[in-house]
Amino acid sequence: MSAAATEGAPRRSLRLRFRHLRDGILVGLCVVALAFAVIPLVWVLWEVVAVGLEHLSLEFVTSLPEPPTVGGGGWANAIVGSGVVVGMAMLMGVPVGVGTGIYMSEYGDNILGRSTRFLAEVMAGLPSIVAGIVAYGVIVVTMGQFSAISGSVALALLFIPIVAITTQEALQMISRDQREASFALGVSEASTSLRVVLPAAMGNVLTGVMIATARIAGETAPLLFTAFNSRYWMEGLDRPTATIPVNIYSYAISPFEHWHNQAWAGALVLVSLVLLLNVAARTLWARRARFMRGG
Amino acid sequence: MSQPRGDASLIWAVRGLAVASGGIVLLIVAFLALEAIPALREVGLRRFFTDASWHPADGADRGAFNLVPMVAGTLTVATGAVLIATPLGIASALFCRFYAPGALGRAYRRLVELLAGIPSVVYGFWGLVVLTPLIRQWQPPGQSLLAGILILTVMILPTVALLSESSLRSIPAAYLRGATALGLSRWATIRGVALPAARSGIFTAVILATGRAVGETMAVLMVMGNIVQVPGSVFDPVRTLTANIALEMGYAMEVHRSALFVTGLMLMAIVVVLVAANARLGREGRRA
Repeated sequence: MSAAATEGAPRRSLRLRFRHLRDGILVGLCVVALAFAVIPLVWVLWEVVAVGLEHLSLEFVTSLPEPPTVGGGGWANAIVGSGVVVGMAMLMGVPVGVGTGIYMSEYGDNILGRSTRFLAEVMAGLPSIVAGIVAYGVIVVTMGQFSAISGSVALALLFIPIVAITTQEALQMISRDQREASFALGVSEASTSLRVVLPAAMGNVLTGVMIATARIAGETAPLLFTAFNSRYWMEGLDRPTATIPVNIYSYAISPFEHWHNQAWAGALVLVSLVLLLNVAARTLWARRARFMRGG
Repeated sequence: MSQPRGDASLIWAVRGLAVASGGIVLLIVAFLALEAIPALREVGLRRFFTDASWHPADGADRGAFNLVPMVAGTLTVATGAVLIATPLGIASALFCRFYAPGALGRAYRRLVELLAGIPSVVYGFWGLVVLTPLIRQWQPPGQSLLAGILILTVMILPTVALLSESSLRSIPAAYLRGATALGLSRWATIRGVALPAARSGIFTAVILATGRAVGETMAVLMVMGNIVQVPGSVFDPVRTLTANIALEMGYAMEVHRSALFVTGLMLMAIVVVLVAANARLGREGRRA
């Protein structure tokens, strides 16, 4: 008995040391993984900020593009174009997305609601280039020319599922008590969702809209053969239109250094807009979450 | 209390919108199929895998329609990126959840959330200007399968890390307290309690990341060289299905365009399979 105890003690401490060692190695591996994950991301951001700032100027955001041999010039038309194309996508996408989200959350406990949710998830996974070829085939081929509106339709296809899913989740965060209190006052189901649940969840619905906007503002592939590109100010919704992401692509693959520099400046403008939208959205979400917990 | 009259019609309005957005997906699939039919009828599915090369502009009879190099490109680049990003993403999520001090974990999450929003064309530009020259110094030509795998890894890592972290965070505290009460080491807690409990969330993370990797266009278009060939090594330039559409759709006519819609339909099918797998396994995970 006592022999077993004295024999067991060193073995146990050996095992304990092994366990400490193993834990240490695992922490090390996790730190390495973290570093691998963070370094390239920060590197990308650093490159955009450092090189972009160097070439960003007032001229860049206020004037039209110049040929690479001339120098100077800017992307003002692309900045306006992006605003219009994204804005129209939102005009089309917000009612459909929010409405779908309300349906899935409030009336969706049936076969239609569940299949809509499944289809929304499929649509959320839709490769953006596929949204592009659909808008190309349906609108560009029919109209016979590239247009801002076809770009907006392609972006709306990517926008709707994100808004629908975030709206559904935002409405489901509103507690059952609030709905039941409303029913107890004799308010109908429809008025409850419209006048009680939706206003209470409005902050988070807006967050979803902002996140979806940030996502489509950076989309390039669906615009390559829909909105296409242009060197001039926007001439109409039915005309080819320059956008920031497509400009970044076409300037980036050009052989001219001046254009590369402008692409960095454009990337900085785009990344700042997208990050600003994301930060605003997350802050709004955090504030609402705190409010709803009663803090 | 009298009901505002408009409110009752709300149910019908939102039901109509829900049907509309569900209908859009079905219309997309129908449209892709409709556009793909000429190529499927005139060329036939078999020739997409047995023809000698990819020369689709010469018409259905004289042209060649071999999609194997593009399919191989998409599968190798997506598989490579998912294989690297999954362990890295899960490990960094574990570190944030179980090892890092709270503030560091939160800071990491904020940072990754922000960086997840950087547009893919910016990653592609960085890859083109910074990453491919580095690979070229080592093993020319630089624009290669390896560059694509690395850039996609960077892009899908935030997805894996964030979703894994949030599913690890949603483990009931009682499970972890139980593990502590049993005297389990941190590693035993992670392996025996945390990972199994968070399994379905982590699975979702990997599925979503895979979908993103398969569907990504701009970044791979800019760093992979886009030569139509089955890659012999990771340093070979390759072309993916998505890059092929981006490069050729602008000028493709007739059966060539139709063949590109066939590839669009293939991408769509991959997404449907991934979403369905996730829906099924996610449900099982919740029941377990």
